[in-house]
Amino acid sequence: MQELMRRAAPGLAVAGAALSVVWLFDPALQPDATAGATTATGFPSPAQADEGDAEEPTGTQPGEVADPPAEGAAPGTAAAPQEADGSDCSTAQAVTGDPVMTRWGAVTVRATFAADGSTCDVTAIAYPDGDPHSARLNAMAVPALDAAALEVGVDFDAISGATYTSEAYRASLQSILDQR
Amino acid sequence: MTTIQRGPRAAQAQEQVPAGQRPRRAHRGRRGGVDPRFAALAITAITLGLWALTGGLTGLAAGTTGALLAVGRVAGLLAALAALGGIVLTARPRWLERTVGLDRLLGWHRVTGMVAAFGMLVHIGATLAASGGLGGLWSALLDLLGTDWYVAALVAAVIFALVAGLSWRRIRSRMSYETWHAVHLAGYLAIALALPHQLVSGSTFVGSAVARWWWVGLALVTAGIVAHARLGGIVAAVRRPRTAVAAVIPEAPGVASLVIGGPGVEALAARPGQFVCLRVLTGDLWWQAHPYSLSAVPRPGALRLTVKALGDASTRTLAVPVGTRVLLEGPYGVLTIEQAQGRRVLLIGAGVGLAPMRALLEACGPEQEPVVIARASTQADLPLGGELDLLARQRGGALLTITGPRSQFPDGNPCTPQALRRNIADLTDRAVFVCGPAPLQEAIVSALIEAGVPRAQVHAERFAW
Repeated sequence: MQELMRRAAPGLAVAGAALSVVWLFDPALQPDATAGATTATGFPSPAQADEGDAEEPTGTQPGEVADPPAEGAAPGTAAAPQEADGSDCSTAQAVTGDPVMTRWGAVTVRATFAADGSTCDVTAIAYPDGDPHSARLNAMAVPALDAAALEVGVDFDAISGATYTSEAYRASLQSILDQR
Repeated sequence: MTTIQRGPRAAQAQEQVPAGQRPRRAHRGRRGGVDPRFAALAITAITLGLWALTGGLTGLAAGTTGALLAVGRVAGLLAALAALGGIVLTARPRWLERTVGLDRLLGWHRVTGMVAAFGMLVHIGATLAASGGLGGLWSALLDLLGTDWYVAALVAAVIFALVAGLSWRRIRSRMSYETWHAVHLAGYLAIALALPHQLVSGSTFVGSAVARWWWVGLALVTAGIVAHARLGGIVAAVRRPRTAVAAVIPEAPGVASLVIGGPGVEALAARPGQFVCLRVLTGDLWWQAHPYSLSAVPRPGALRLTVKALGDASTRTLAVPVGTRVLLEGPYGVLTIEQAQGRRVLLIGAGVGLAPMRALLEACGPEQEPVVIARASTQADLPLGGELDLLARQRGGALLTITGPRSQFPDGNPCTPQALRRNIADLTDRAVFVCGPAPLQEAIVSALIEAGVPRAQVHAERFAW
């Protein structure tokens, strides 16, 4: 019996260490994992100043923007500020950006512009939602990104926990601006 | 099959092919059937097809990031496939062993291990590099680790690196077998830990239910094959009627025969030339099974194993009291007299390797005029010598014994091609069975081939455990 224990010890040690690390640290096994993601919702959090674009979200897009849509609004958010003082969004022209790959799937942004060039709406028409994690995260992150993009253009801050989606969103939006 | 390897260390150490002394192929009868390499190729092709259809090909053309991601994905898929293949090979399912032979199974296991390790490196490297443009590798890693099942995947990678690193020959040769084997078994855990991240966020699988089912199916089938191959023998042994030690008979210094009796023996249906894994049900031996050859044609309700006390466990096995219950797993091995296909027979055995030769000899008919070459260092060390002589003469054959220190033979091999040809006139017409310690067995097989015996007529089997 002692011999059995002696022989099994190295394997049990490796297995025990491995399972402990997974149990303690893997987000999938953390009871607060979803809670953590939820807090990342709402308006773009002032986190993740990864790459020096720590610019304050003060820059404005050409074209005026009325009150931004309520944060965390229903899917398809940014239901567009529908005011017609000079820029008529009912005859807006839609421009679709390049799909930008992320680790989890492509992000494609579409923006609509009024005749005078003002932005009526920015929305991601495709984003990674095939796996539960992405779906959960992006259901919250994408509406916030839509709202932020409508307000400040490409200069929004990345959303904490959704860095890839944020950066791909920014790149796709940039491709729209480059087209114009 | 070498019955020589007796100690737990010595016997099991053969599981890992010793450096530089792997025979090119096993000399054994192969059954027909589909080459398992075709099956492996087909599975790989289907998986690559799913990868291509779920954005793998378009990803390659989608700039540096897209290409890196696509390459990382395909490397990960191939690594996972190789890992699954590797555990199927090393579980040694009987159908596979019979088609392919143990030597090639173990050789392939090494290859799949290397493919898995290399593929995993590329997978991790490419994925991180693709993400690295967005804020550096470190933050990319942290970001990934915040994703469900990525900590598990990273732990799997660490285990895999450990398993691969410790199997590197120069390191492997400095470790005890037990430590190496225990760590190696953690490879199963690594495969299991890596699976969730593939399914939850692998782009091939999140987008396609077909791909998901394919992948889950592969994992389940693999688990089934491995469980069946690894545990099937024990389960069958437990379900057979009772078997117990009926007698222990000394044969030569350090060598004794165990007679196992009981109704379970007939259910086992072992044939001469085969071996069984013996599990002695005493407090200190129950958890280990060791392979021993049948040394006689089984009688109704009894069979005989001849055992050399090389290791701790085999020594204790020979000391168990009569009546001790045992489990017999098997029978294993393909060295049966049918392999001779009616030819005359030459049986070459060294030391306790004479045990299966003794059983085969008894199974020979008189038309096979069996010649036995028995090798031992002294006449006193020759196990079963009297029986071999009697049985050979009864069948119109003869026993040739070779004794004396190993140093008197060129390269320690008492069976040179010249000596074989000189002593056995019809050598090249005979079916030859060889069993002995691995290096000697290989030397003898080479000598036989050099002496002109067609390869298909040479039958030797490496020990499976």
